[in-house]
Amino acid sequence: MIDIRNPKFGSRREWLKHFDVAETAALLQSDVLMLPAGYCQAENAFAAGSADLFKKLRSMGLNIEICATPESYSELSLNSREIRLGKFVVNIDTFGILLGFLTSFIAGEVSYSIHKNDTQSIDFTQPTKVEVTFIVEDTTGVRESKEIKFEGSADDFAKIAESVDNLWQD
Amino acid sequence: MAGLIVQYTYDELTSDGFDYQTALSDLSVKKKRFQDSGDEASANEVWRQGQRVKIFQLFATMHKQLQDEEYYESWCTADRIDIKAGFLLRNFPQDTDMIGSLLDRVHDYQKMFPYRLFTSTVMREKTVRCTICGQEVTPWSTCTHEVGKVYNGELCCREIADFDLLGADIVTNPQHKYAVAFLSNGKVGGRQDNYDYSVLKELRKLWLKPFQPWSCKATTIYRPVPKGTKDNDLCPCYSKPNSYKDCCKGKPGIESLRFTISFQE
Repeated sequence: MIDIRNPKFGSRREWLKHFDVAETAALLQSDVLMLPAGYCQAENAFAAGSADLFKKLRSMGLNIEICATPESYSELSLNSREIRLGKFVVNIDTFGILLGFLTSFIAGEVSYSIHKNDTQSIDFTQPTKVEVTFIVEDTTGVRESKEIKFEGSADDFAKIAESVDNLWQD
Repeated sequence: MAGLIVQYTYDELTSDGFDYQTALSDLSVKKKRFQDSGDEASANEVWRQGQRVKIFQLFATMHKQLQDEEYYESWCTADRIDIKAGFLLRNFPQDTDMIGSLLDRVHDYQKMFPYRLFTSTVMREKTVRCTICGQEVTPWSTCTHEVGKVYNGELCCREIADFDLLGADIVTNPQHKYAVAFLSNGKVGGRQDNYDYSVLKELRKLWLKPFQPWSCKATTIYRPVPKGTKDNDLCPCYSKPNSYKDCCKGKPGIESLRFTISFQE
């Protein structure tokens, strides 16, 4: 399921202020900014595994920063089997690259223990689900940012790319 | 160096007299030697052989537990196989040839269990460490070890050193399948097992040798709605923590599964 809406905050400055993180040029200008996942149990916590994912994306050459301080950083572990990638602010020019990296990451995570899917009625045999939110910024600054929330099977993740064309259509 | 490491074959690992414990002890000594000499490739290869041996050993244990009617214990062993196989295949994808059919049987076996609801904790992880270098894992740490990968014969995992428990949920698709929801046994304590193991009891009669090949197909069937079922009762299919009106009402009956098991000579 792909849901497109207006984000809670329209600018990075507002996100940083909301999470009480000091503004820096790097945080404001990076291509991607990782945000806390926004779980109701712990609003400032990141999705479990975010530190590993952040370092992996950076090692792939992505200009990514994180909206947190070393003192406040924590991760929230929800133990149902799902790949929770968290929330990213990303400029439209980098969105495709980020999707490519995440698609490759997801493929690595799900390929090792796939159940033969001959019944729909047992949840733990179903394909792994993915949950992620993107806040896509218009690099020209003319159009307002849009939020894309994806919850669905790993196989459908690539469909997010198709939604980009419809982002700013009424 | 890796050429000196014994490569156990499928036939050896499934033979009646194979001594898993001795094989694991031998591999443990070899791994230490390679680790001490800094031969990472050989240490990783020994880890691989060790995982293979453990998977086959656990498979035999899982079968024995079924024969002994220790159903929950057998379920937990199946989960351990699944986890170990996942780590082995992440590092050595080509081992699908060796353990793929075994893993398919484990997955078929898991489907035959009546367990559909599991408990799941919600934790705020405050301090997480890398098991390879011991560093705290944060976005700013310099640890570059990847969770699930093998380094010098050891698997990289994450150790949660400090956390807050925020809650617990009932889920149908758990990260940890051992967390089966059981009723507690009142004041006496302990687990009260009311699950229906009839499918496994049938399998137990037919599956006599651990590595005897078999496969299973699940088909959806509909049972008559038990008399007296009310809209707000827990749905008698027990597949989700839903009321009858939000689950099987409107279907041709109570959704259930029929298993067809085929044994090969």
